[in-house]
Amino acid sequence: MLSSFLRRLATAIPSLIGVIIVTFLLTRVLPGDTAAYFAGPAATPEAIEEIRVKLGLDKSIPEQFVDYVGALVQGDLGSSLTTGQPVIQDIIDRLPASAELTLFGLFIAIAVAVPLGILAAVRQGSWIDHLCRIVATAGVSLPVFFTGLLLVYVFYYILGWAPAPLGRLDVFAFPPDPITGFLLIDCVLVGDWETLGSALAQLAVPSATLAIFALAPITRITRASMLSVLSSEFVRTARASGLSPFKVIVGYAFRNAMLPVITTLGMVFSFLLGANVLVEKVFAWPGIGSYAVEALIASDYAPVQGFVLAMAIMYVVLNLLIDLLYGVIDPRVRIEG
Amino acid sequence: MALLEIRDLSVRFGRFQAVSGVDMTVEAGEIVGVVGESGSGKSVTSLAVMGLIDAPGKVTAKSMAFDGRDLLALSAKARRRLLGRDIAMIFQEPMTSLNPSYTVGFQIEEVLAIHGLKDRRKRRERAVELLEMVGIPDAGRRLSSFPHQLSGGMNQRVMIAMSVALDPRLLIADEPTTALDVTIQAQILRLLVDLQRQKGMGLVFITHDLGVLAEIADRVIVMYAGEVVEMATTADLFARPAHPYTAALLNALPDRAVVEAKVTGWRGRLPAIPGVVPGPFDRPAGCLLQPRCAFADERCVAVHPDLLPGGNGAVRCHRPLMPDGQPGPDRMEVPA
Ligand SMILES: Nc1ncnc2c1ncn2[C@@H]1O[C@H](COP(=O)(O)OP(=O)(O)OP(=O)(O)O)[C@@H](O)[C@H]1O
Ligand SMILES: [Mg+2]
Repeated sequence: MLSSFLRRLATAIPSLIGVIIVTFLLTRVLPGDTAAYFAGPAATPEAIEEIRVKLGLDKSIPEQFVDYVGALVQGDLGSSLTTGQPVIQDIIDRLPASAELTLFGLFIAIAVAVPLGILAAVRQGSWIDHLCRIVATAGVSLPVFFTGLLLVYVFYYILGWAPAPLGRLDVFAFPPDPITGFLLIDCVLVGDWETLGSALAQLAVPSATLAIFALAPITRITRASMLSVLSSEFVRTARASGLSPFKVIVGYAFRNAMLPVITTLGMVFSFLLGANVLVEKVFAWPGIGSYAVEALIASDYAPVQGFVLAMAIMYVVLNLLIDLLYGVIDPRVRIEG
Repeated sequence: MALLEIRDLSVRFGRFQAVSGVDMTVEAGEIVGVVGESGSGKSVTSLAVMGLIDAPGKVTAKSMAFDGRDLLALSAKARRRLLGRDIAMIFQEPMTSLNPSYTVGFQIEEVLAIHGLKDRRKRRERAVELLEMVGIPDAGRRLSSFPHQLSGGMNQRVMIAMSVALDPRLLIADEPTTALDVTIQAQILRLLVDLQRQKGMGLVFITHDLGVLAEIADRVIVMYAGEVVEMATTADLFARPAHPYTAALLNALPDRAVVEAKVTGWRGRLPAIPGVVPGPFDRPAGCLLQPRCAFADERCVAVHPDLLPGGNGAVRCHRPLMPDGQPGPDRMEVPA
């Protein structure tokens, strides 16, 4: 088990190397002269040149790459020219905000989509099946920023149920000292229920925006996968043995329908990482998505590189997790010995 | 009282009549063979007995009684309680009929558990005992195997163990050997018949292969396009088939063909029955076999024959075959 895990881990290394190369090259071909941008509009050519040398931008591309990798190995992602902080620090500070938002959105989506998909498959052609179809169609046809703005308009502006879309916490609330960086968890850990409520209120609309985006593919695949498993022969055997419908559906059918659902979850999660960038912008969420967008606009490439790298690592880790889950769920995938 | 007594069972899927007017009785301790081409409604009939036809399929019957209890009048729950305990079923594809995510031991024990064997140790002991009974070596260790780690023959043995776990009184085996290779087929057949004798079960054995039924069945029911076309004791059916379709099936048996080839010196292909079973959209009027029947006349084209008693059984034909293999006089014209 452990050796197969390590072997699987090793297969992730080439993809990481690829990602490092691509991120490096990507930021080099982006338009805009970083040195010129930072010297300001009134700078003399000499001043720009000075900054260029300071940033190491005067060296050849291969040399720059060696510098980059050398620093990377030491955990140095460079410094952000806008915030003046080391990128790694910025990312560590901001990642929990993004992760909390994304995971919470994904969690809501799963909690709604999976039961909906199962019911739609079990009661094929019923109103719940139609609802499922509407959700699936609506989810793919609504762009994230649009749902986000719409929800803000309805729940904040018209109904006044949601707080202003201005970040993770009300300006008057005091966040607890960060322990995990996840606001919800930290509040629970220190028992600060008031702040927890306020954080949840802030989180509700942006995570609902992400959830609506994620709902469609999860519902669709759950329904399709359940339908195919429900008509399979081992389900018939289970029913012929006198198992109750609930046991057949949840214990036998869903258990086997989970593999494609998990594959889709992985995909949806990576879509969500992308959608996050927009949602963070709409809700002024202090996550790494908005951080990267601001850096990109400023031609500040170290944070962009750091962001892409962090995303890629998350993606690789996620796929690793999914592979391991496969083995747990389906004994045929498990490597013997 | 018969163990299973079905009168006028019909199953339809939308406008398609998959099974119509099937009568069937099975006595305790008896092997009833059901034979017919692909699509003749053998599986649908047995699934209807099990109560496993899902909407939009519709099951109707004048009566469908197991051990005197009307199955159609039972609640879903009461009917489920019979399944696996009193009535069990074995399916055709051993590799896909077991759940790939659970060990075979778990699946056998699950059946024991839902029918009331609560003690885990006893369940395990019984599972080992069952696997030994169906001839699986090293039964204790095999319990923790997953279906994909076993061969088709082994999986079918597991299926059999699971189905007889609670000593059912009626076992329906739907082509249990079709997916297996020939040597394994014989072993599984032997095992089933031995278990049936030992436990005095009623066994409904569904197959394409009349040759198998000659060896094991007490009575044979021949189905065609969702109808029973002939039923008779095995001996009668083989000696004097009364329905042209039965006669054609018998002629298609390899050893008969071989005998014939020896006698006549004929060296062609095996005789096959030309044409196919009518599907939902090409059911002929009159007799359903008529487009494929060598003896069909105008009345066969116009009038659907009823299943009428004849000989030691019943036959659905206007002019049942005589012992010489030629059609007899039209039944309508024979004075009673
Ligand atoms: N759920 C269903 N919906 C619609 N039609 C069905 C359904 N199940 C079976 N049928 C149809 O009913 C007819 C009888 O099928 P059945 O499976 O009973 O045949 P069979 O005699 O068991 O054939 P085989 O020897 O291939 O197993 C077929 O034409 C089949 O297409
Ligand atoms: Mg069948």
